[in-house]
Amino acid sequence: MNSLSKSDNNTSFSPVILTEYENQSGLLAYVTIELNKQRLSIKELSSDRVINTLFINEANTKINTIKFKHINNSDTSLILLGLSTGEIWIYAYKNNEIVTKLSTQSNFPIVDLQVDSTSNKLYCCDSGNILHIYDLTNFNKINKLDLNEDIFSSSSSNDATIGKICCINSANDKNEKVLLCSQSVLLYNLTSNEVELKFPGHITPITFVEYIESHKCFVTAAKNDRFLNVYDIKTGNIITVLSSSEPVEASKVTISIDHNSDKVNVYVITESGNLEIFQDIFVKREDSDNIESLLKSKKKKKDRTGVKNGGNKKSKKIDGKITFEMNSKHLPLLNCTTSNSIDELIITWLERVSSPFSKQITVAAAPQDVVNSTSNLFYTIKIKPHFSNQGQKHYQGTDIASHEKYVEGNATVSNGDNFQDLLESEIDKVLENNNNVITSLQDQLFDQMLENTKDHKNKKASTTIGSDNNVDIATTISTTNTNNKLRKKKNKDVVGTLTVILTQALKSNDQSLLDQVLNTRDPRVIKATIYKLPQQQLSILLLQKLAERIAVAKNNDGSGNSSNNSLDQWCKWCLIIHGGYLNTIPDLLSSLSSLHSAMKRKASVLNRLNELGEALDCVLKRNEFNDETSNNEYESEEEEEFVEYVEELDDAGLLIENGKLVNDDSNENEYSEDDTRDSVVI
Amino acid sequence: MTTASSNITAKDTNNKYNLSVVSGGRLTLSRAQFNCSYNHVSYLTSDSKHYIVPFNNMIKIYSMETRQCVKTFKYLNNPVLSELVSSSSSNRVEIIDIDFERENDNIVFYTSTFKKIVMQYTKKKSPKQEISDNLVVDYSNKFDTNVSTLVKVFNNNNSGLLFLVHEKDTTVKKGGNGFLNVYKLDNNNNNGTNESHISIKKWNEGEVILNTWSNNEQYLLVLTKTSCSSPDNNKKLLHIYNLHDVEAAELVIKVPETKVSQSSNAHYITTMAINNTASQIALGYASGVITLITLNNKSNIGEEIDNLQIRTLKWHIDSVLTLNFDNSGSYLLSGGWEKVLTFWLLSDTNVQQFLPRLNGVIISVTSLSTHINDNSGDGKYISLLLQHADNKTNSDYELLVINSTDFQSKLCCNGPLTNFESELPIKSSNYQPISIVSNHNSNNEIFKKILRKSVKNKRQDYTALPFTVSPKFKNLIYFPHNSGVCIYDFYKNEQLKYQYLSTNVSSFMGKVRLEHENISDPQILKIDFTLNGEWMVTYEVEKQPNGLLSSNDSSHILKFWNFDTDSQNWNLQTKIINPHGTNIPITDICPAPVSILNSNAILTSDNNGGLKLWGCLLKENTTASANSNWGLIDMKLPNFNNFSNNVNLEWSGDGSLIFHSFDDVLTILDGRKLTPLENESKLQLDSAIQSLHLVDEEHLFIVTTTCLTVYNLLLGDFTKGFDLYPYVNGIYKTGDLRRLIAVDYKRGNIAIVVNQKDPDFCDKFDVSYKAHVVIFNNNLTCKLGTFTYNDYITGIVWNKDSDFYFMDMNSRLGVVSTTITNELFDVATDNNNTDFKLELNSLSARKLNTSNTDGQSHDEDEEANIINGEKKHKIIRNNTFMNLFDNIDNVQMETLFDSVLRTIS
Repeated sequence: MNSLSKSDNNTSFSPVILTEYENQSGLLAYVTIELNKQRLSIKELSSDRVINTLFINEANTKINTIKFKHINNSDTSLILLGLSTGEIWIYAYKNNEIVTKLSTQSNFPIVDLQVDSTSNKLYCCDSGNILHIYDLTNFNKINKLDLNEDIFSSSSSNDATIGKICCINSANDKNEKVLLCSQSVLLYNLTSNEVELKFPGHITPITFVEYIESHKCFVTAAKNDRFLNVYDIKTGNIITVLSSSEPVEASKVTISIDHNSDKVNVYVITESGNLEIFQDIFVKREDSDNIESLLKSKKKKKDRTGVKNGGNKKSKKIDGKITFEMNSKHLPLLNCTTSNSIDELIITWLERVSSPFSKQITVAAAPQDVVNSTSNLFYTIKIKPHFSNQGQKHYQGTDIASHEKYVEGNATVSNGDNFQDLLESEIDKVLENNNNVITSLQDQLFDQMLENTKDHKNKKASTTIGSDNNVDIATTISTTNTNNKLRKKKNKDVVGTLTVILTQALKSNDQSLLDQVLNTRDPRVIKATIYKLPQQQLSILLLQKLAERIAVAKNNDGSGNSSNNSLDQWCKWCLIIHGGYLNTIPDLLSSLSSLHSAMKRKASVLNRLNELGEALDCVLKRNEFNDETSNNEYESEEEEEFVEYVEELDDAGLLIENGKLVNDDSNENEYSEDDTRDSVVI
Repeated sequence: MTTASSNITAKDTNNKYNLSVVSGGRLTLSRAQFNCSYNHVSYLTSDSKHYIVPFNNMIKIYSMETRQCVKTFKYLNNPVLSELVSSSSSNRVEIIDIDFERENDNIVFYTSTFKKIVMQYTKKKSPKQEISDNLVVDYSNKFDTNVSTLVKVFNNNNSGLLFLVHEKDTTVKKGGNGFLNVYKLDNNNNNGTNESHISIKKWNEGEVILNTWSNNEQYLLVLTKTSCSSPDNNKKLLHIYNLHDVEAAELVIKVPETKVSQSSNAHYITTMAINNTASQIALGYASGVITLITLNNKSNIGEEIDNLQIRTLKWHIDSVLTLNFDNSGSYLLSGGWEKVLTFWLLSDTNVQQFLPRLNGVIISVTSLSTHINDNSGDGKYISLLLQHADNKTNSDYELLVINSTDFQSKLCCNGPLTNFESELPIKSSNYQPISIVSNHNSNNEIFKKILRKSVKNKRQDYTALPFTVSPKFKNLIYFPHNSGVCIYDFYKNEQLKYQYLSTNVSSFMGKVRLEHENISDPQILKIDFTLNGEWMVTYEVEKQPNGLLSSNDSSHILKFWNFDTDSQNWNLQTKIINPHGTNIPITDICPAPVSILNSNAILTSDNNGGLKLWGCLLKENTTASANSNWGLIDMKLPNFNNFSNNVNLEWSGDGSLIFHSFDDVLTILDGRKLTPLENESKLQLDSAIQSLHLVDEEHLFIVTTTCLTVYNLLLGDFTKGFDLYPYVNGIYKTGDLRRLIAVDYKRGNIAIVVNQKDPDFCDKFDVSYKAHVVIFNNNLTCKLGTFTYNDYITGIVWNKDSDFYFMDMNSRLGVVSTTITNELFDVATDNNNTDFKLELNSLSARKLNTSNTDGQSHDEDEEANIINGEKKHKIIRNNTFMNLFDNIDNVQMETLFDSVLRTIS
């Protein structure tokens, strides 16, 4: 009928299977399934407090219907439970005790209960079509009617079971009348025991019926049907048909009557949990086009049920539709009831699958938290969840007994050799040390030697950068270096070389410039650049920077070996060329510790690789050997085709093959780890 | 005491210390050793409001409504109880059954030694329970207590008391599960002397494998195996015995044999259960299969029945550890290694419901019954005993009671959970459930081997992982346990919280697969706090699975947590992997006494002599500590040539000096720069330094493997020392001695624990210990208290106030305190009045030559030898220098001479 997918409908997976809302005290009774048993809970929605629960201990006892009943002149409030075992339990929920159990004396499940508050009578119908009437003042059975004989003998077999009943007791009419609903509706007079009227019905069993006394009419809704019929009880005609957009579920229809203006509004909750509004259903409207088409469709149905249509029947489309959202997800409603005025509703919904909550809304005036308001009565209401959405905890909160789980969350994960937070003083100390080192004569001579070869090398290097713009900067750097006169003289660097840029980057601590230089991957260029490094103190600085970068690269990709190949090259040549100088520095261990740890870590892999290599080697060799031996065996087997078989020997277990007893397998277990065993005993 | 409280100054060291055992304990599984499937002892009162749980040191009564313990009977508090239950130090006497005398409101306890204790239960009475001797009924004279042990008492009104007694099989040397007898006691005459007991049933024709009974205690189920000599070999028989009708013959059923599987696991019955009407029997196998036997007709009583309805229930993938029928008989409950409680709906075919992710392996499940028919369904509970089976050194049980309808927990209790250095030699605390995956199942044989080893073994290091007291809440003790922390409230005597501190397999599932078994979870080894208590630092080690090239790699992780007041949890802020490099452990953690970078800092040391200072770095624009992370802010480089695990750190109170001991060298560092001081920065001691404490601004208290000594920083000399060598020689693993030393920094008092074997109670299979706790003042000149405690003390810690907390081998927690005069606190033994010299004798160098007698001679206790300090004139004998040469490998030549000189001076 309606192809709405139920996948996002939470209630369909809820353990809550039955609900009943009591307007007067604001109580919600709901039945949940626990294992194979049922529990009735009564919750005060205003205070969010579960007053009491009733656990049905027998697995085969199911609650079919719930009705609230207040005894006017006393404090006791009762709940009537119609059970599948054919019993009616009267449960005083405040005291959490079952007052009495009324038995129908038949095993038919109770289908519907109805309380007539004026006469204090309980009408109850079971699936065997027997109507039971009890007096609620003394819990005695007044009457029992087998409706099968009286009514249904004449009618068609489809209408066999009564699904709903509704008692109609008007003050001026002394007759006790009951509406019996199967798929069609019968008005039955209990005093005269005869059917007064037959109403044209639905094509599916009726799940809702309510009598509106002020208008002398009643409303029905049926299973999987999106039409609600409004009948006139006097004439038996359909006054109007309310058509909602989706099928209406049972017990989710609320009729709100304004006694002053005789306005009657009908609110329904559809299958997908939206609230749909029919306003003022008895006001006639001329909306001919729609009615025509609707009548056509209705005609077909009515033809099938064999009931003639009244010509003056009107159809009414919805006047409004409210959808609900929670945490930007569609929230299906559980229930709705009228509150103080005709436009005020109390809606209930489930959170975390099984906890009901309620809120009062005013339908006519669109409230402030409305979003997406298309017209006056079509809008969406956002509802704040009662459960804070913190974490993925169980809907009833974490159990105290459960252990607190380990959550890494947003914690910073770092490594023991991540030196980025090391206090600056540490590096200062290193640099301080370096400045105090007096360049030895040997160094100076070495520098001179370098100078001579420089021109030749620079050509290569400059091709990579190829820029002459650095003249001024490079010369200024070289002039600032005033503490070494000899060097100053020699430092007539060829401008634009990688060495110059490197020097510059190191001295000015320019990270991006340094990165540019270190991006060079050509080992020859790297070698030459380091070779020409003018001040050997810079080599320490360079190594530190390299170590920093290696550490960072390691932290970034985890493996630490993918992208910093060139860094390794830089390191290598720096150590090779300036190793001699580095040896002379006393406090080097502390300043280059991170490099040390990085290299140590990398070097530690070597052992592992060697081990792996050995293991692989061993396996390969063994395979080779096995192949050889198995070939040999195969050849020898070929020769053995003509072995003489002596039965006596075999029986005695003395048959010898390949120099071994055949059945002496136990000795060979030690060889089982390689493949030789299979080849030996074929 | 009240007058003194006004002027508590440094002088209040005159206050007497008291030692008392007040808290802790562990749950017991007393019936497991008798192969009883109904193994957990507990009792739900008939109004279903209270639950009685026996611990190994007390009996606790919990309220089911509030989860609080409403009453505690401590064994030590009560002279009758302490005499009956905790006899000496061996733990063989246990509460094995609890009953309730409804008419008098009395709780009745039965011990395994046939004693019945009756206690008043009414809540109005004062906590001081008067238990007089006449409330103890002794049945032990009727039984040979050497071979017989009481397993269970059935009390039915028709036939009086029925005793289920386990008797050792003395005829068979090895193996043999013994006999099982049912004795009847006529309780009509209450005077306890004329009672006659009749053995009414005895299963001795075959070997008894398992026994259990129905929840209503009407039916006893015994599984026997026919002896090898009988014609049909290895036939297993089930005996159903009606305890209400003791005259009736038992029903014998042959256990259905599976023909499908040839594996021995498919025949090994691990547990069984019988329902209340004896119409169904469930057998759990080691292979994980449950066989459900439905008895059709009871006509052929006394004969073997062959036509049985048999169903197999398969879900468990490791051994079924426990089975129980729901009281209504509609459900079977089963539990095992999966940590999932399984409900089998018996009316339907193979419909199961699960309660997953429990805290531990389920070793006992009991469906508790109440007699009141409560409509709300809240009166039905399931009691579960869970075990943290990952802890190989101790059996950590946890009791959980859940509501059977909504599975909400009603009660959860356990003692302090901790890991010990080695497997404890106490039988009852070493139950390992059977598993086909884990090969760590210790049956009795293996266990005896361990016991024998532990008796002979010289190294008896059962110290617990170092536990810490929270600086903010002095009553909370943090016990590192597997990969989590157990936060235990010392005074409430309850676990406050258990929080996992690392990722691990066992926190979200049971280790039931072979690949999981190979994985070892990270182990939390150290927990420390910054001095203001805002940050918790944990150190953990994660080992790689076996059989890999990387198996020897272990990753060490340092974690920094801060406390989230909303969720009441510690939140991880920074995790540092391999803080000192790969495979390098952290040997000590020391919080900075002063703020560094305006925040907290922690100093860690490794086994190469390296130090790293970790600081709390506030992120930009934030001041809250929740937004900060930790990083390395300073370091002292290691020397990769030296290795030692004897590394200790101590930071002076003003932050200016750091004392760093590495093996036998003490280095004094500048607290700001982590560099050695220019002059006198190194101090060479005679042997590896075990513990280092700056007691006050003047005295540095050093414990080496040979002596306790105090170094006066102002004088630059050792002022006082005691010989410690005989007490620690070879007993403790490297670095574990410091767990037995605690310093009260406020008062400057020092507490030292010395554990010894108790020669009076040692035999071939059993070993017992006693411990001495000695409290010194700041310069070791005065002894403030000496206590003898009759159990092995596994750790002592200062509670950051005025007391010392300690824990013993039975997980009992005690306090050495000056302030507490609560009557609940029971004084164990206070030897405070004895002569100081005598005490000194008992402490120092009691027998120098024990080192070469391998703990077998105990008769030289009186021979005392004081090496230093007290006596000017020494007698030098052959063995005076013995301990010097014991560790001559580490001693340099200079030190050797120093030591020799000091010894003879």
